[in-house]
Amino acid sequence: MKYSKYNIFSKIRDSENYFIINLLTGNADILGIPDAEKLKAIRNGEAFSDEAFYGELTAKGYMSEEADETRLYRNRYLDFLDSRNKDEIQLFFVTNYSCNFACTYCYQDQYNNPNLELSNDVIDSFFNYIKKEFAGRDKYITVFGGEPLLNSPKQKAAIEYLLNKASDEKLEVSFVTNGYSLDSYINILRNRSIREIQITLDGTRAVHNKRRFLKSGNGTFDAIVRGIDACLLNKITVNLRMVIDKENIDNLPDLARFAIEKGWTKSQYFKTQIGRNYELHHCQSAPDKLFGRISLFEEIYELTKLHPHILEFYKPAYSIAKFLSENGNLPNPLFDSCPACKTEWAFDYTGQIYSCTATVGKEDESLGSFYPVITQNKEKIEQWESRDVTAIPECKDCNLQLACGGGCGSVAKNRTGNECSSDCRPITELLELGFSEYFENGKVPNNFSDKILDYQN
Amino acid sequence: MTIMKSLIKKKEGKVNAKPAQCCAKTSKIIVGCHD
Repeated sequence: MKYSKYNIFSKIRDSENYFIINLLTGNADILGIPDAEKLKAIRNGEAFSDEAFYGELTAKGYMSEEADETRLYRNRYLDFLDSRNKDEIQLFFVTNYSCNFACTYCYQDQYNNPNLELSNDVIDSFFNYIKKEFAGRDKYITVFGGEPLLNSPKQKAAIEYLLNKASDEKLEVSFVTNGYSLDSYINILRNRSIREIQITLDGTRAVHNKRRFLKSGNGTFDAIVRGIDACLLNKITVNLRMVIDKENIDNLPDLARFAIEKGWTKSQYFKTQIGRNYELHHCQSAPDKLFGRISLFEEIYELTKLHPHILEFYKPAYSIAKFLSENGNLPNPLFDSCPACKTEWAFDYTGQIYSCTATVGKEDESLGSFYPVITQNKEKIEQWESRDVTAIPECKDCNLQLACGGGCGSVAKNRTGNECSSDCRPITELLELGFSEYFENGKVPNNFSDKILDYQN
Repeated sequence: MTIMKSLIKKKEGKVNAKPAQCCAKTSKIIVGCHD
């Protein structure tokens, strides 16, 4: 018997307790200090005498025979591939790369904006392509930019045409928009199969307007809020995103309060996400303003202790901690967190095909074309398709691989030149925060047995 | 005697959940999913 190579074991933040999870066997436990000490000894290969404890570790797969673990890994991997092959595909369609905003942190600011216009021919070709290429697969379309919902008659006609084509194919459509002209699109969007609309607010009025303004310099907050109100009124789901860095994190409690007071958080059509402002493709002018992957969530963890109403607005996932607390089980092992060319593709108005939203619009990342002629760079596509933790050398011996999934292929490629390399996530540190937030409430229990009773209640 | 506390409500090892990434399916329309 060996200590499983997939165990994730660490101390819970602001607690005397520890956690252990194993995504291969689907087990998660909290340990008090005595058991944690025993487990550390076992992990270090020291002799032990507690047969009952050893038996429990074995029954839960925290200890296992290497051959059994290898077999289970293989079976779960095959299950994963099987499940993914049946999974829904997200097809991004970029109507234009142009935008009416001049956000301080735009990652597309160095993109070319080919002087072509979106035509109905291109939209027809897109639908013909996906109908043939993804026949028999569940799929939906996400309209992306630039800014896809620009307030011009020509753009509105193109969006309406696209929605009609999607309706003919019985496909749902989502939008990623800055939200500035959303209320002028409501008549086009209402009574359609809209899955959701992602809109970004980076804070309350003054903070948001300092970061996300029009090219003229004018503020955008009030127009976006009108758009969100109009969507919710018309039962169109809004996915509100706040992009955070060190310049606006302190405004999170205020934005949360604003959303609560607007009544948004009570709506079944309202959800939120937080995005870290980060360097996707190129260095920003002020990288010292950016949070790292763990420091952002450390800040949010501290903020939620001071301002618990934030949790009414946004509940951090902390890797799989939130999932575990809400579902009472672990998610299946994540053998691959990169959907590119598997469950995600991106297409743009120039007729080019890309792997995902991170690569779309980057000339050297094109994988082929769907207009005016169909071409496919099969070698490049196969490279993206083959990426998972079994193909990334750095992942093979990592105990976090089944929670991390190898991260983002595009970020990895920007780092190493090869998409089949790792983009590591701080899984252990996130879980330390998440177990505290969702299982310990940040409090150090006086007596662990009392804590067990709490769990059972 | 051990006091390890399982957080799994279902029968151990029988997990019917989707992978972590997929549980946020409708929320992955984001550039930030690369982060």
